[in-house]
Amino acid sequence: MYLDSLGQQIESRLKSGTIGKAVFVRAHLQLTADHGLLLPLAAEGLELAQRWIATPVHAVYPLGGVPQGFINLMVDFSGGEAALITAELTLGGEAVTQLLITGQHGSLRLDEYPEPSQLTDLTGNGQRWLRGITTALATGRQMITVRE
Amino acid sequence: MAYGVLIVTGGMTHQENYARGFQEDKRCTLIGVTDERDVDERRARLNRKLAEDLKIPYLPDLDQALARGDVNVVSICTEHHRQGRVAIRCAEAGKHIYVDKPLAGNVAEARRLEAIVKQKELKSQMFTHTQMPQGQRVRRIYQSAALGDLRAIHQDLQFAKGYPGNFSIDRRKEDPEPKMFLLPDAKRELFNIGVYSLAMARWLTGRKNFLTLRAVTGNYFFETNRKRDFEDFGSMAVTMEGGIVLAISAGRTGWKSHPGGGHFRTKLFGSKASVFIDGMASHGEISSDRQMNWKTPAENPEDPMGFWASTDQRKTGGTEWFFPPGSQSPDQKAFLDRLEKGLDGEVNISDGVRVLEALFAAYRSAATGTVVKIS
Repeated sequence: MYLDSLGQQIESRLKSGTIGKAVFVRAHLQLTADHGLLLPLAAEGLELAQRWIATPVHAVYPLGGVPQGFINLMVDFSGGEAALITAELTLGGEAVTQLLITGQHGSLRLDEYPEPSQLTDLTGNGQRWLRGITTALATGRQMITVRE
Repeated sequence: MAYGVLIVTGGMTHQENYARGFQEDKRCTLIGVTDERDVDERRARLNRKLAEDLKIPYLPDLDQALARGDVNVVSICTEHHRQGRVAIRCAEAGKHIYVDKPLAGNVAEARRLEAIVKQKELKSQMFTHTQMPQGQRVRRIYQSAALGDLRAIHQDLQFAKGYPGNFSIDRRKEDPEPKMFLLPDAKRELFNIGVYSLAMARWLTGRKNFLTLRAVTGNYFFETNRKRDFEDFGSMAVTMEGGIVLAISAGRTGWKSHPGGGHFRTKLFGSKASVFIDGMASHGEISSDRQMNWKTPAENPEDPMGFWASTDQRKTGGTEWFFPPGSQSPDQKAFLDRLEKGLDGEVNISDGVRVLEALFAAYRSAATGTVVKIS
């Protein structure tokens, strides 16, 4: 619910056209102390980035891992845009979402510190990416979703 | 000791800053501005202009200038496609080298330069952001051990300069081995800005090597870069020795993309803690209804002071930023300090070569859409 609301809020800002076409997304989703949620969170981050960039995903290159406490996704979109998405453990600190979206005519920055009560349901449509990310991470290869 | 510093290549380069950094240091005497004898009319004019501004001679023949006995150090800031060969001539002449980033326009020249510098036991430093306050802060936090084992470095370095266009964005076809990087109206920005983050990561981690890299380059903002087929933005995911992951965005993103110099953000993620460092955190802000972009909401007589949410009197406008003193880079001073102690620069020619290898790997990756190994 939290991520979906965030997705909608940012999407509506982007649709207003203030920063122009979004071409790059940096997202840190440092929202859980649970290692088991890292991969699902990374998948949700990918879903959000695609929603904001509004172009099909071409390739995803995952790095890091559950034991390391973070999953980093480098995303190459079909239109040439890019994203760097990271799901990270809170490591005893406060939960935080940090976004930097670079548009053709400006940038959008968000630093948000949600309360634990907001973070009860962190999974949604992004779970469609989960299997692909998990496999790519295990094999050290990119997940290619669109062949040009 | 007094150092005779020869300025190699002049105006409309970062030499405008570097040369003044050396000139303001009491340990230095600037000998003159020089360059290759056959530079074009524009470059010769800009070289003479910097010499005039600095009130030092213009010495139009690099080899003659290097033959002078009073030159100990060269400060090189030549266009990248020439910088490798120029730096090699300076090293062959036995001069200590302070050089602009990235080191050269191809890896072969950079490696040859590295070999000469080692063989002649010269001291060297490549300009980076490591000596700037945010660089020092990143290292201080890293060395405090509060993070535990460093696992990831994330850095966004996006310069807020230039006039963005209104074109539709296409998937860029990258050149796997570019040869030109800088023209009067365009720069390859992954090359020119991404270098800072790569150098910072190597410096921070005690010279851990880069292993693999995946990059995407784009033409998102500037018509001039599109016409020149130079990327204006790049993203990289890099693996380093020790299992460290490096995730970088680097580019020039247009005047209005940031109220100050641009986004300069670093996040370090360790086994015990993480830290976010905003390189632009030290700034002042002014908000005023006398600012050009400020839009004060129309007064609602029912709620003239904007007390209640239902009257929705949203204001919009731009906050004006200014910066406190003390943010100037002491990079030249740091080099001289190390030189006095007989030490090499903290980011030396060898570091510059390793970073250049990574940058060219990034072009290969962006051209092929694959993860590449860094040699």
